[in-house]
Amino acid sequence: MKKFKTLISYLKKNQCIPKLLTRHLLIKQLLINMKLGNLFKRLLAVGLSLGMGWGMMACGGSPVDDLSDAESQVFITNYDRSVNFANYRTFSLPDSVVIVSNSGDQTSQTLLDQAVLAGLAQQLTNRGYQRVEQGSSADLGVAAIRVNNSYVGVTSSPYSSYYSNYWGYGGYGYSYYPYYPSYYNFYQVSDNYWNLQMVDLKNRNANNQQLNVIWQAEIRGNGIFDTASTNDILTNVFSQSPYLQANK
Amino acid sequence: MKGWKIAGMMAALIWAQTATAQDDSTPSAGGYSPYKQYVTGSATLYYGVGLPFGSQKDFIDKSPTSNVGIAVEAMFPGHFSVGGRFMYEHVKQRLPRQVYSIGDGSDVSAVQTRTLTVAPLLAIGSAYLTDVTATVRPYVQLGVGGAFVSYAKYYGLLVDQKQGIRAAVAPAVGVKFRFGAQSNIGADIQAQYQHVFFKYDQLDNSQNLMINVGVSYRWW
Repeated sequence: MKKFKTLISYLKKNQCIPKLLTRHLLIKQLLINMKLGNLFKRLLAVGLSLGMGWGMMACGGSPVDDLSDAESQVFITNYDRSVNFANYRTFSLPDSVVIVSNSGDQTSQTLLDQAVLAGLAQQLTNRGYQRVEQGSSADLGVAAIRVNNSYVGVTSSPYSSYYSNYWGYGGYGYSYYPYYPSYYNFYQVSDNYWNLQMVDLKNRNANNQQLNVIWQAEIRGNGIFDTASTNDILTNVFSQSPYLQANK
Repeated sequence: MKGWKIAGMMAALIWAQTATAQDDSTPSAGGYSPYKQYVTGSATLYYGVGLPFGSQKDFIDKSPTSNVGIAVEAMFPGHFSVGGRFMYEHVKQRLPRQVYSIGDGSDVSAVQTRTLTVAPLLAIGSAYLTDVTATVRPYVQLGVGGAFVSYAKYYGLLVDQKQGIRAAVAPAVGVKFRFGAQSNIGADIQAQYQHVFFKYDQLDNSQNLMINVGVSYRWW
């Protein structure tokens, strides 16, 4: 390159090359510059690769991949603000959980289900509520529901069928269905999760055949179907629901 | 017709003059330098850390440290340059389990993971205090363009996310160095205020003071 420049310089100093040739040589010079340009292109490629690699590092995996099972769990609770939970004393809790899936509802009594029901009963008892025998009259109906697989598009009354005879005594049969005030949100994602809910059996609305859902909890995340973690999960759920307290 | 001839001669003269100047373009410390004669190029690879403030600090108070980028500039003889700049900035913060009350009245107990990715693509213009051949060039810069923004707030595995492209402005001050009068390699240190007009949930515009260092290469 140095020789090339020297040659051009010499020729021009002696004014022995026509301008057209100069222009031709300039094109060559431009090509030389392009070689430097290639270096720049390589730098650019390195930079872009670094940036893209960095981006892929950040975007390749989910930012929550490193959460432990316990850390991944989410407990969502909501309740009817017009209700005074101290006005209720008894609750009915069946010995099975409801499985809700796209293929329909059924009940289940696995060891996990029994652990959840026992833990649920214990938490309510700790809050001063008294469990009654299945089939007896109660102030509160408590349900444990496992929502499975691709059950999405949950609407305002997703679990109507289990109300048919879930608490097992007359008067709350086929004609009643749950009523969810508008502040209950159901996260419409494909997921397996627990839904716990409490309906008001004491103040059932005979006119419109509704049982008000006065409390509910959604439990989501990894490890929520491990029997060993049941107590920790329920403790968390109830600790964020301090209003669940019967009169002592 | 005569006018055309004069114009043609003038064009030929300029052409010739340009050619003459181009051919004599060996860089030198004291005298002639092509950087004084022509528009030359400069590319800089950056790494930076960010100091968030405003609502971004409320969202993630951790300093973004995963910031890389590249700038390509046309350096004019004298005191100005224009170019383009791309940066990629990512920050993530995890908060221990807490109970959050959200808009619908629900109480949500979760470990929160918050992430913010900002990737601005800016047109930049710089004004330098010293000449293009100086080895130390303090400057002020203005960047204007757009930025891709990805905002995410994870509750455990559930995510509340928003992405979009928004306008961005980024004034900066800095100093460019060259490692010797003949060197094509240099460095850049700059402080840049970056403002991205992105509003969602907790974020009422992304605001950062970025401290960037770069390695640059110039060519002609």
